[in-house]
Amino acid sequence: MNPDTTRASLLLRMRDPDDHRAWHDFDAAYGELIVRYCRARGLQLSDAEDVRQLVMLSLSKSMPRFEYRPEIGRFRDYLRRTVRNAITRYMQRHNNDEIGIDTIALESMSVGDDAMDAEWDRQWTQLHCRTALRSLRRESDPRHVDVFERLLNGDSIQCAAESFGMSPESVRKIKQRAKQRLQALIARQLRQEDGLD
Amino acid sequence: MTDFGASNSTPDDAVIDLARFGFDDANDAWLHVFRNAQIVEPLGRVGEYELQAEIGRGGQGIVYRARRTRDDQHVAIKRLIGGKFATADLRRRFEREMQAIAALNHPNIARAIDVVDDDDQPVIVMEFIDGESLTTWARAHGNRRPIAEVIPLFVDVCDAVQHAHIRGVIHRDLKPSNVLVTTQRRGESRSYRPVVLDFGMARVLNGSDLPSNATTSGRFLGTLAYAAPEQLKGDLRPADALADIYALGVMLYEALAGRNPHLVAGSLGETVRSIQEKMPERLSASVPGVSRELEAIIFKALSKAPTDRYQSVDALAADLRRFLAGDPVMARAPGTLYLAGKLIRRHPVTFAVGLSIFALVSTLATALVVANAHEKAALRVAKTTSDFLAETLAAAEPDRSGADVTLLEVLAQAGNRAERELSGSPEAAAQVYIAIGKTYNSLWRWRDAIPHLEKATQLLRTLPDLDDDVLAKALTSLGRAYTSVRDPKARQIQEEALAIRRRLFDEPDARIAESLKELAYALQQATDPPQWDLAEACYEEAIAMYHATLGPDDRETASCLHNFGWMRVRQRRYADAVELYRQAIDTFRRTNRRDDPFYVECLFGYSAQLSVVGRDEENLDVINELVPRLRASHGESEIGDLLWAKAETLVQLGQFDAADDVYADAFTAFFDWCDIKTPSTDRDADALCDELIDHLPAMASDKTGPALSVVEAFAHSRIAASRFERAEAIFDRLNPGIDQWAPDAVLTRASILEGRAEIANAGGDPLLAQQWLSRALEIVDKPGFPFDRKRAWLERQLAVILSDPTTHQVDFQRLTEVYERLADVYGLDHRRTRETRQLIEKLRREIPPQ
Repeated sequence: MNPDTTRASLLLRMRDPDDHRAWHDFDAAYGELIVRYCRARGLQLSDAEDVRQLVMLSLSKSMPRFEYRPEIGRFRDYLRRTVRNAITRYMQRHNNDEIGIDTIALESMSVGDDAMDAEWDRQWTQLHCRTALRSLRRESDPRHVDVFERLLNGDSIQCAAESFGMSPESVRKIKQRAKQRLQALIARQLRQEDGLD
Repeated sequence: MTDFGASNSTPDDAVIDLARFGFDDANDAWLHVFRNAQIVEPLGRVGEYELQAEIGRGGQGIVYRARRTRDDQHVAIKRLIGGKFATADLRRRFEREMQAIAALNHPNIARAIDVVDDDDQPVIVMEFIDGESLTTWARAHGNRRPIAEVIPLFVDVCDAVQHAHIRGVIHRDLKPSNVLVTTQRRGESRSYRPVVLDFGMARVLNGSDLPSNATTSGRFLGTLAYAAPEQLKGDLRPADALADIYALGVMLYEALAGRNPHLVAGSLGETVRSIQEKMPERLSASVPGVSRELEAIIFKALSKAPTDRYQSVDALAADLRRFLAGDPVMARAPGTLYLAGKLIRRHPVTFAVGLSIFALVSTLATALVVANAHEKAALRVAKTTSDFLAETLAAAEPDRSGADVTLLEVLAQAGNRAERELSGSPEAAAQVYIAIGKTYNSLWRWRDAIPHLEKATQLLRTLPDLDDDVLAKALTSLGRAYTSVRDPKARQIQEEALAIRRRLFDEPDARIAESLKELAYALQQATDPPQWDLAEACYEEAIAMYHATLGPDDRETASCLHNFGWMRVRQRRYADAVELYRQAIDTFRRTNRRDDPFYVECLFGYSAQLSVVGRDEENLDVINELVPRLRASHGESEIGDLLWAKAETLVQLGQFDAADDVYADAFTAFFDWCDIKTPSTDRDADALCDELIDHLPAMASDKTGPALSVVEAFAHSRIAASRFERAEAIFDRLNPGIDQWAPDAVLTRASILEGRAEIANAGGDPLLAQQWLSRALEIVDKPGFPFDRKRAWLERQLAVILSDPTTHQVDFQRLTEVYERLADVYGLDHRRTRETRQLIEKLRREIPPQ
């Protein structure tokens, strides 16, 4: 990774603890994932929010030393472990006044040590889908978005075509373009997440 | 996959991750994945509310969209960030802020519905606003919203912020995403309501404030792009009301230009530098329809130094309202006679503004004691009232941002306290409301006055032994407030006050005269249409009655004459206006009360109208009297406009050398106003004019327009003195740069062309003169701009040049047409109309009918 790239990745920018914008962006991007994951693990919302705060604290300590090394794992897994660790510590020390959390030792992190956390992956996938959909809605022709929303809601191509007075072929094209665009958006998001863009 | 860069540089892991989304699977698996992603489980419950999704985060709170299960109502729920980790200070602060926000009740602020306790954590339930952010709204799906839609919406936003400010709540994180705009559709028409959200970072001013680091936590909490320069200094001091005003300026700039005024896409350092040091790019140059006035308003809000900004949100809103109404704005630099025009637009009540505002409230309290001391019960009421006001004043903290805000806070507190504490004494409560209402009136805050005066009149009407004149007084003040906001209710209210007084008192009586005067004012200000004749009858009766009761030289008589004079100005009956102003002035002169500030105001009106009708010699005397008086009352900085008026009057009188001396002083005053170091050596007006032109390219954008009009007016004085070459040289120097310096200085450009035409005509080239005038006419022929007067005058100049008495080629029909047009736009008394009439009469005498 070249730290001089003009458009530094979010992860790179987060190595600077004073880059509040980066931290804000990160929280905006992943905060909901952390909270929803905690809820799925049975935590109350207020506890989930506390864990979210702990995770941010933890990352603020570890990120300045963070170095992306694809061979030892993706950020998604790193974040999952940080969150799971935070949950464990939080539950253990729930009643203590001084709640703290240790940072995961980066060197101990490796892919495959843990069993797949299906819930995390499900939430993670959905988060990326929602993010990509938001971008698609924002940047596309509103009429095409309307058509695509119908397909997303389960309408058939024929049905959507009739509703909008279009030929099925046009609807098919819109769907195809949306798919291509979403695929490109997701690919970009994943690359950015891992600091490759 | 090939489309999306699953290139060699992508690790296999990423490819595997992408596979989760089902793009390569059969049966449109990807569509199902995206569909499922949209169905999210509720995040949890708080009391009877089901939290559905997070919709935002402020500095301290998280906001969720939620549903009240019993009735399916959508609400927004806000809870403290940090939960159990929040420090005790932070929690106390959050709770205190919740209380402050709960006390805000404004149609443009998201309403607090409930405060609930959730697992020992405070949670606030608020109105859910289903709208789009100000940014999205302002872009209107790709197109810019018309200014006529943006500005009124923005005035509503200002009103909301002002509502919070006077209750001691500073927002501190104003940005477009914190203003949602909802759209109401009625048939074809749409109306928009902005709602200010997220007082989550709000700072509460009253009580013992926490140290600033309690909220800043060592980092900047606001949104950088909307932060004021002073917030970005090392000490990270908490934002005050003036920072909110700055943020409003950024938002307005952004709403109109579609971009932030600063470079906010770069690094943190670049952003901070841009905010602290760089002047934003001018708007009038790049955004169609943004006038210099509007730009001046925005730039004043965006001033780097807090002291240069508007000192209250209300002042910003007031200027935006003036802009909408086509009135001169306070942010805009004065042009010639601007100040005079500004002052004569004021109304007599404003002489109270000269008093210290605190003295004003104290005086009211004392006045109540004195006025009611004749009866024991009344005395008790008066004592309660004055004690109450004195206490409220004593509780005021005078070190807030600007005296105006402080007084407004006091007034708002007094209103709230009166409601709580004086419920057992409706008469005293009514007196307090009247005092508050009248104080608001004296500050021209009519809309704030109205609810208090309405309350006062309602309370008074419920009293069993009502003192009718107290009601009449309250009605008079209420009517005045309604008149000032052009509400048609004014007339009916003043008629009621007049009827009460006619019933109570025997004529002639000064109180009846007062009601007549106020009714006249309501009638003259009525908009559809103004009731000139009725107003005139009322004024005449009021003046006669004041004569009979208070004497011919009382201030009330003068005030009546002044208002009547202003009505004549509005009717374009300038000669009549001059006469009424003169009578008003005489009342002061006869009694030797020339130090009265209202005398200065009457002199201003008199001078302005003398200039309009062309009575220059008398005007010169008036200006000579005004200069030292204005210097004494307003200071040196306000003298500039008067000096321009004096120089122009001298030019009209042909006293060119004397005029040049005054022009030199006027230029010096102008340099002062522009913060340009005054040239040290003794220089004449022409040299100073050249120096001002030298400064034009580097001048701050809000000064360029006034500077250009000053130079252009000076060049015209050269023409009047037959110094044509000098005038031409000035025009030539302005010519290459004017489009760049002030692209929308339409009138100035037209005036330059008009000047060139005069020069050409004087040089015996009427054909060239016609060409110049035709070009000037093209410039002012701009749809949507009110250049009727300029257009009529240019047409007149053209018609005069086309008439050649030496060859008897005079198109009388055309001349008569332009005369009629002038009479229409300037009025019959205006010097331009009169001089044109005289010219036509002269030509008719010289050229026999064919």
